[in-house]
Amino acid sequence: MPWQKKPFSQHVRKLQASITPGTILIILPGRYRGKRVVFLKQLSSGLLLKFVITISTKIDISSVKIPIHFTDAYFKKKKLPKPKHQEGEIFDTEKEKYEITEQRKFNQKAVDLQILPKIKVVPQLQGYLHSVFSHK
Amino acid sequence: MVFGCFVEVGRVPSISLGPHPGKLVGIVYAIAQNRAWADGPCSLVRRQVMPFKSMELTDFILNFPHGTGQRYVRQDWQKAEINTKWAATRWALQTETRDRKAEMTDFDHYKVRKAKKMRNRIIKLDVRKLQKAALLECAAAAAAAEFPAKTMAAADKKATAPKAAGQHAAPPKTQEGQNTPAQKAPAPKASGKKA
Repeated sequence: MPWQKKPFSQHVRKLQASITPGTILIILPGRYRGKRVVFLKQLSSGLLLKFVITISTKIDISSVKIPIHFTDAYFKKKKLPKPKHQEGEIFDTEKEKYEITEQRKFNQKAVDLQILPKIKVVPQLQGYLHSVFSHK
Repeated sequence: MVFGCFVEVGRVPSISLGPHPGKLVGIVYAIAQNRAWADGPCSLVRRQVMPFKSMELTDFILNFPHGTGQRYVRQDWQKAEINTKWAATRWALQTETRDRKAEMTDFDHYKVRKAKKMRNRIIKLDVRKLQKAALLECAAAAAAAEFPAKTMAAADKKATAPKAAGQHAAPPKTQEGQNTPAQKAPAPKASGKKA
């Protein structure tokens, strides 16, 4: 039956027609709330794009190549193994801290280098993206 | 209160309601107590019946007899250059800026904020300069009052010098205000709206 319930991974991800690659968005929830960002592409999980304000300003990023391996799995938070208590020790041993991998840094730079010149072309856009959105 | 604008044949009202808000038409004939036959050949409004209630009278009157054909309404309109005169009125400018403001994006708001900030800084600096100059003047005048005859000449020189400098640095109040959203609106947007 076509309307049988599908698991989340098979749900159809819809996207607002106004959000296309290069659109500027304002992120509303989470650590980056109020930040203005450039939309690159929609991932298969459709995460987050409901909680976003779309600005009608767009940048032309048609020539920007986004690494193919930017998928949900790539961006998923890594669960760090909790240190096991050794005998006799009551307090936690040093926790493993989250380290930014070299691969991430490399990819970030690769994408930034492509996008920054596109942003600089539009006057005042860089300052705008730097600023934070608020309802005051 | 004496009324100066009347509903009459040839009056050019602006339409406020219906499918053609903001456009100008010419009243061709008053059909009934509350309706008129109106035509806007130069403002892309077809000849049609329109209620007076949807009209806001402007100061423009065209001179044609009642029931004239569209061709003559157009001729009169173009001769009177209604479109250019209308665009120059405050009314039209205000509606235009109001529409532009309504269509401002978040990016435009940001640009306006920055422009206002810059303008206010310029004004503040110049106000401070004038204040300084005024203070110097006062000080010089006070000095002159205390030591009349001798230092009068010297004080005069001092007073005139900073005063001249203060006047010179009068605030170049950039006439942004209403036009700021217009100026700062991105080019494609502006052209899209004008069309």
